[in-house]
Amino acid sequence: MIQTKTRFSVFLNIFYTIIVLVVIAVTLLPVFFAVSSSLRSDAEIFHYATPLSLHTFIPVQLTWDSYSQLFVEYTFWRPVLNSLIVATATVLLGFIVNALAGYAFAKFDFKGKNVLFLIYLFSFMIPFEMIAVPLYKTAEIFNLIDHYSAMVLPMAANGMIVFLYRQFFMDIPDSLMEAATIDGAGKLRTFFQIIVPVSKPVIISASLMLFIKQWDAFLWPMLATTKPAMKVIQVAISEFTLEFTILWNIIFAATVVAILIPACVLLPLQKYYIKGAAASGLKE
Amino acid sequence: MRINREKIKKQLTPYALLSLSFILIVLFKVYPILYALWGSFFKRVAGGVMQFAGFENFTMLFKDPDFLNSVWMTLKFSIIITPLQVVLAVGLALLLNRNHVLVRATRTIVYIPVAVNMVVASTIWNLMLNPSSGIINSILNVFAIPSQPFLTSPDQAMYVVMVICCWKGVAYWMMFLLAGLQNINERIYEAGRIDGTNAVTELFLLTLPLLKNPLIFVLISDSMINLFMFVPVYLLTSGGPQGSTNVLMYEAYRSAFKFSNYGRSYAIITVLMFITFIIIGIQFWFLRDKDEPRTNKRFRGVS
Repeated sequence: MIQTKTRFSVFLNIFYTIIVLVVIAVTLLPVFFAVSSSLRSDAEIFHYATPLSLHTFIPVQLTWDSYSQLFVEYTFWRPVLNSLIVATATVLLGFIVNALAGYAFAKFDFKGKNVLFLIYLFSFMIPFEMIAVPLYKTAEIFNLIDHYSAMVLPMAANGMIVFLYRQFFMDIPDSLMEAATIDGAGKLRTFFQIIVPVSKPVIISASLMLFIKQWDAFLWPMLATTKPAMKVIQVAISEFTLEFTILWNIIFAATVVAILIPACVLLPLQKYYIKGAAASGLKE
Repeated sequence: MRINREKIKKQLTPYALLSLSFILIVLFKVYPILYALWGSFFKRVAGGVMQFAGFENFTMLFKDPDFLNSVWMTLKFSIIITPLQVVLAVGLALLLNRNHVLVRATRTIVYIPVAVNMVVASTIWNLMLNPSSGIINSILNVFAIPSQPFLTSPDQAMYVVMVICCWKGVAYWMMFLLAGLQNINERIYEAGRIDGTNAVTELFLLTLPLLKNPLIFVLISDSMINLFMFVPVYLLTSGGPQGSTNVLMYEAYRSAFKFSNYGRSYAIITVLMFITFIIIGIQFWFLRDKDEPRTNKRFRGVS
């Protein structure tokens, strides 16, 4: 009896391991293939593409040519820089705008609070694609097309991030703030001197979410800008795909850059990102 | 006098704190929605003037075979992919809900596609799925399966888009479910085992009911995202071949930016909005805190 049970659990463990390995393989295949193809010549990719062999995945001759071509000939540094500018501006503006709103919802009682909070919650449930077309007309009215602000302003205020801040601030004891109020600090000073210093985790997760959101932004930047010099990274990559003349190794190099930069930001702070995402979903 | 002013100042503080975000949300979220609703009742006449057209945009839409096809494609896409993604996400969450070094490492690996943007994912998959020199066909050939046309076939394109969306999306939804699983108290399972649960009854009678809230959240958010799926279609198929991937969002984009027919585009978006509001309504209805007094107290401000 005991023996059959252990044998069964050994079988289960093997089965479990196989499934996990398949999941890992499927997850990593595209990323691995992109990385390895970006490190070889275009001719080599096609030469070993089919039939499948070890060299389909492992380059014969490693070369950084695709990256130097990407950045020098295709001036890919420009879209990378544009995306970093837009994302950073959104993170900074987003902090001020959303944290103050979270503070108001967490620590104040005022008329219309519930209705306003519902509007905020509702606004984050609206998929961005839904408003993209009419937003274009709105941006035209305010003369924002072809300005960085067109990409920053619509993304900065985010109901979900207000919600995140609110949740965090509600757990900060009022006594902490009262002490500051007795000292004569105004509400805004209390916020920056008392609340902000103890809110590092939520600030990090909120900033990460906005940064990633902007780094990933595609449809809106594509509509909002027409100047090639203002292209952000995802728009630049989409153009590589839509024009059929670009060599594969260069396209792969561009995708690797697009993956690596947010990964460098995300990996060390993964914990905060997942916590933030989970908190916004679970509402507890 | 002075006290009065202090009092007013105190009352205005929260509004001042909210003002910036409120202005941005109204301008860039609420106003465009109203603009689309309003614009869907207008049509462009000679000279580029917008003229009130009543329900004309809508009646034209529902007579338009392109539109009806894309309604069908959107429904087909949503109805297949949403349950598929949720089931895969639940499976993955159950699979990786173990506290072992290797499992935690696997979790990190599985999160990688979450960090990969949809444009990038579509681009990489597009090259891998190239019918003549893509490696997916090379891999299929190893298993003696003949090369497939993938995105160039009207029968396969939609399913290929689903595969790309699954690769990119499942781990994201898993994240919420895993957090939900980790909130479940281990003692509940112990109590269940005393009552004689096995793996199957444990899943259906304990785990899934306890995951209700994250599951509903995932189901609703996922169906919304899938309703507005756009990037892979825009980049890889342009709605084709033969309209087989022409979802509503792409049709709305095409109307506005390819044919400058904004009235039609807004009418399509209004239809999508209508579906979205129904879904949001369902979410609020499901998540209303009726049987959880603790949550209720804390969230009275919300519901």
